[in-house]
Formats: sequence, structure tokens, C-alpha cells
Amino acid sequence: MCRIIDSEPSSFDEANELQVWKDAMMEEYQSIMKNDVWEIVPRSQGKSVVTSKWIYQIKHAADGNIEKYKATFVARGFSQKEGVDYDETFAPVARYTSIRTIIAIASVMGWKLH
Amino acid sequence: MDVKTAFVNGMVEQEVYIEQPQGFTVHESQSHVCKLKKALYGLKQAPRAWYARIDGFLKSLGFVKNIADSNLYFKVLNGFPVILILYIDDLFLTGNEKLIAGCKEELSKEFEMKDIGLMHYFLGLEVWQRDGEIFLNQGKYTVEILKRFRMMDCKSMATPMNSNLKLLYDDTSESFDPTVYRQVIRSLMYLVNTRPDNCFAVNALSQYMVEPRHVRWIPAKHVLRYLNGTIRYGLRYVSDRKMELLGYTDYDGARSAADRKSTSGCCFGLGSGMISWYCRKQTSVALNTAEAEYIAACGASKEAVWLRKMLTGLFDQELDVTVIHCDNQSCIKLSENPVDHDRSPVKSHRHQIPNIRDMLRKGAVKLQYISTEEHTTNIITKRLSKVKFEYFRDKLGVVENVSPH
Repeated sequence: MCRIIDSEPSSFDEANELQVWKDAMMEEYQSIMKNDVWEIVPRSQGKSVVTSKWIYQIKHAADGNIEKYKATFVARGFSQKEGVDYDETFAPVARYTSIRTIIAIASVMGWKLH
Repeated sequence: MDVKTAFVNGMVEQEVYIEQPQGFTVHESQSHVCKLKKALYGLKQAPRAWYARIDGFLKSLGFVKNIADSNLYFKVLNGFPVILILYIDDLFLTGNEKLIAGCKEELSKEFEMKDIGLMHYFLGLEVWQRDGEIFLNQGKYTVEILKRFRMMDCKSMATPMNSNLKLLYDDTSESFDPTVYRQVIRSLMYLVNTRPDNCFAVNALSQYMVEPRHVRWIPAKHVLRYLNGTIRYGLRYVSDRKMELLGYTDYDGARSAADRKSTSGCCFGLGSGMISWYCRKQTSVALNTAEAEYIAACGASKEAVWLRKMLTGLFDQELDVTVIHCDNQSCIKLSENPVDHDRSPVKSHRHQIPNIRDMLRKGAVKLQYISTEEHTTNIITKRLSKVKFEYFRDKLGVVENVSPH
């Protein structure tokens, strides 16, 4: 097979017809299994179930060539209700001011940034 | 460094069920679902669960969380320091080389990490580490916006703004596509992260996001034309400098003809370069210049207190008083003299502002006079001529990247 696949499918059915995307999904699934992300349980009454979706992305290298076909299995978290399905949210992001402060300190001290 | 599939490392505490993945159903999907033990991308609690995990791990390595920014960690071992900054699944380390190597090893044992060695790129900021200096810019991003808005071949301008600000108030001119206008201004806002020289222009233009008009699109393009001539510019931090926090505060002289509100501007430098700046319209109308200047100084003091809190935590010692420069003598007098009577020009109770005098008493900040000609914040609060603009741009530490390769 030498046809270059350069479009990102928007649905599972579309992706499932091409080997590269099937391989990508398998890779993601194995990573989930390895990390022991979930256990399969019978559906119980009265518990809400978050819907899920496959996302397909083509990763490009700096020279523009295709580097990787990536499939990500995501939760469609927008259906979760605050207070029912989750309590608090928080995103661990540093302020840009903190980042510049540390860089300024590193330059004065002669430290390298890793 | 970055953490691969970071969110999968977060433990889910609540009971969360999710549909089985399409194509990989183990049991009939009608009857069986996945009960999550760990977080997945897209889940509301995923970032928080991940943070709890990494925070716990960093603490177990002996890191202490900074009190001013909870994504800044610090550790001292045998007198040697190491600092870690966390941004979701991206992080960087600085300090003692041996400690850094040790930290990287511990992190890689616990999580699947990608280590690219010395940092060249962090959150879209290009980082150039050279002997005796660190240079920070967003050159690639600048080129991207110029291409996106088809301004690559335009004639460059020497300053980001030269039109009279009053022109912007004209509500009678023809309207302009709000989507394009907002896209340009938002891109420019992100660029201000390494380009405080654009701070004033971007602030002025961003006040018209709701109803952009053709008269406002021309100055927006002007900023892009200025960028086209200064693509390689950014912040330079050089080594042989004293680690001293210095502040500057100013206001624009109530130039907003629409509502008579003043705009506060301030900037703080540490070592050779600026680390913090903002340009913000005041929320209430000041009765006189001293009051406007006082409101601006209070805002600057608040920022100073936050920066001091962060630095105190990092150095584990009390800091000297932080000097904030101001070009208004009556404002300085007011801050020192605790009178708040009927005829006092500043009625602090009229404004929701922190009392600068409290901070002065605590020895945290001190206002000091600087002549208007030398006042760095001019570039953040005023439209300047080319000569003055370039002079103050230098003072901000914004210079051209001399050897980009």
C-alpha cells in the first residue's frame, strides 16, 4: 500500500476502513489496558454513563512530513453534571509571569533550563 | 520535559462510568460499561486528578510548593537548589545540574516521560540559551500570524501605534468583520507574553472587540506592520546583574474620551529583563490626577506583593523593600501621609482598591520619584515617537535576537 493518507477521519466507521487508523486505535487500546484504566462492569440502573469517542490526528514532524497517526480515546465530559458526576475541577497551569521570573533568576544565577 | 498520556496517571476517586470504546467492546455494550480507575482525556476531573498525582509525587521527592503559584516547586539539597515549573503535562527544571539529572531520573521511573535535554521551546515560547544570557521570543508565532492575516509583504512600521487614539472612538464609521478583528487581537494578546512593547497598542485595540469598525482595523494592521519589522525581537535576560525586583507605575492621563476613565500601567523587572507588566483600564473615574496615579500605584503594589511572595518562597529569606518608581510627587506624598479627610484628593473608600499605606507600613513596597523622561512605563501607557519608543523598548529589555541560529 503506497497511497498517502493525509486526511483525518471524523468518525469510527470512516477510520475503521483504513489499516493505519486501525493500528493507531489498537496502539491506544493497548496503552489503556497496560495502564489498567478501567474495569468492565454490568450497567447499573440510575448511574449516568459518560459517552465516549475516538479522535484521529495526524502528527507532523518539523519538516512537514507525517510522523504519526494517532488515535485517542476520549470521554465526552461535557455531558457530566457538576455536583452529580464531579465536584471540583482545576487545571495545573503556571502563570506566564512565574515562567519569566524563573527564567530571569536562571539567567542571573547562570543556570540552564531543562 | 513532557509526560506522555499524563491524564491516565490520575486516579479517579468518584464513581465514573464510560461507554466501551467502539471497535473494542468486550461485552455487549448495551449491558456493560467501563468503570474508570484512572482518568481519561475529556473527563471533567482529569486535570485535577493528574495534578493530585504529580503533586503528591513531587512532595515525596522533597519538593515544596510555592505559596504564590501552586505550579512552581522548589527543593534544596545540601545547599543546592532546583526549581520545577509545571504546566499540565509540560514541565521544566532549572538549578543545580546534578539535582536536575536526579529529578529527571526519578520522574522517568514514575511516569512515562519524554526528555529533549536543554529547553528550546516551552508553551510556544522559543528559548535561546547562550553563554551569559537567555533569550525568549515568539518569532515563529509572529511569522504564523503575519502569514495568516496576509501581512508578510507589508511595509514595516517603526512603532506599533501612531494614530491618534481619539480616532478609535468614532462609532459612525463603517463596521468591520468582528471575527477577523477578534482573531487578530487575540493572537496579539498571546504575543504580548514576550513583547511588552506591544502592550499599550493591544490594550487600546482590545477594548473594541465587541464592535470593531474600519477605523480600528487600520491601527490593528499597524501593529502587524510593526511586527513585520521586528519578528526576531524578544526579551533578553543577561547574567551579570543584581537580583533585584524593581517596579514602575504610571497612568495614561484619562485619555479615554468615551468615559473619562484612566488606564493604569505597570511593569516589574528582575535582573536585566522585565518579568511582569500590564496595562489596564481603571474601573472607576478618578477625580484628579493624583487619585488616578494613586489607583495605578495601588495596583502595582498588589502585583509587587504577589511577586515578593513568590520570591520569598523561592529564596527562603525576607526580601528588601521593593522600590516602585512613580513620576507624580503628590501621589508619593499621599501614600506616605495617612490622611483621608474630606478635602484629601484620594478617597480610597470610593474605590475597591487595596490600601498602599498598609503595604508601606509593612515594609513591602516603597514609592520613589523618577522623572517622566526616564520612566519606563511610558511605553506601556502612552503612544510615543520613534526615538522615545526605541529608547524605552531597550529599557524593557526587548531587543533583537542577534544570533538566531
